[in-house]
Amino acid sequence: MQLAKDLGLIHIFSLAAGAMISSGLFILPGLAHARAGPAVVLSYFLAGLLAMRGLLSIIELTTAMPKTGADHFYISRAMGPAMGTVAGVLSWFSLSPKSAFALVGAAVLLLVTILYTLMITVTSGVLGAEQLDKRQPSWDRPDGSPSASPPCRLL
Amino acid sequence: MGSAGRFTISVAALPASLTTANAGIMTASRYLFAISRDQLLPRLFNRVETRSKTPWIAVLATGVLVLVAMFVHLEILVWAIRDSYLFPDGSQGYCVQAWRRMRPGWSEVTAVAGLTGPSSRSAWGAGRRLAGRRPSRVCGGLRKWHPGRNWTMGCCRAAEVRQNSVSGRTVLP
Repeated sequence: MQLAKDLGLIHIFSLAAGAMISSGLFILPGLAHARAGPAVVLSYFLAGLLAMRGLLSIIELTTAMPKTGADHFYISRAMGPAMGTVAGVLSWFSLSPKSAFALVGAAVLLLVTILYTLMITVTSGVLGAEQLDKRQPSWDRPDGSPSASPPCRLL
Repeated sequence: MGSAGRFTISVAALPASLTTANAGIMTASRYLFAISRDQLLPRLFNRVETRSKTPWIAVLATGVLVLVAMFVHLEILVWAIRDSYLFPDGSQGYCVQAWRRMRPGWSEVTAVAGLTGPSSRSAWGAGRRLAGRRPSRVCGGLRKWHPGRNWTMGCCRAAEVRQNSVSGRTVLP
């Protein structure tokens, strides 16, 4: 039986944009800026050139052969079924942990930041704002004790 | 930014992470489906649900791997993601070069961009001429010793891949 092939341009665009915009956009630029400083723009440009190389390959192969199982299909047709199977399994093995990575990031975001902020808001409503000002979140402490907020180290 | 800014960024980042997970499961399961369709994995993964027409066993297997991977240490996870994609990524570049050499001007996109074809006067074409005939020779070697030789490019050229003479579009089986 065939798969249902009814995704249009806007669906594919939404899927690809949703897949790409995640921790790489919200977390990694901060880490890169901490190491490289203002030169982070240059490093992102160089990394974009490298990514562009893979992007052009994918564009050319996908527009010519729009078939299910991208890497596996092209590589098995060009280099034989053994190479194609290895490439397909490796792609599967690299895309699935990416989902796990995103899910762990979402859980950390939900638990640490959003629930913490909501808790602070509710507490300030109960206790009054003058109590809240004396508090500091654990990650903003001047002594910077890392064990105070273990889930933040995951990010 | 303070607490409000942190809250805003988190609210924006949460659905972004969820859509990444969704897209990852959707695309990864199709690899299992495609390998199984080529009869290189059990036919179980090729099963398609009748109503929604999705490969539900492949999606389920991918979900199991995602669940297992969530309990792996994050640095090992990042290392595994990065290193296991090196081979497919490099092979894709090889595939582009090999398919181009086999059939110049086979892809409409790069033909429009002026990147393919032996008559291309761009720097890209000059680089391809400098590179000589090595990709096709490698392909010929692969075709010679590989048992599944009717899969490889020589026979794709003959039987599977035809080019529509009117539109120039590559036709696949």
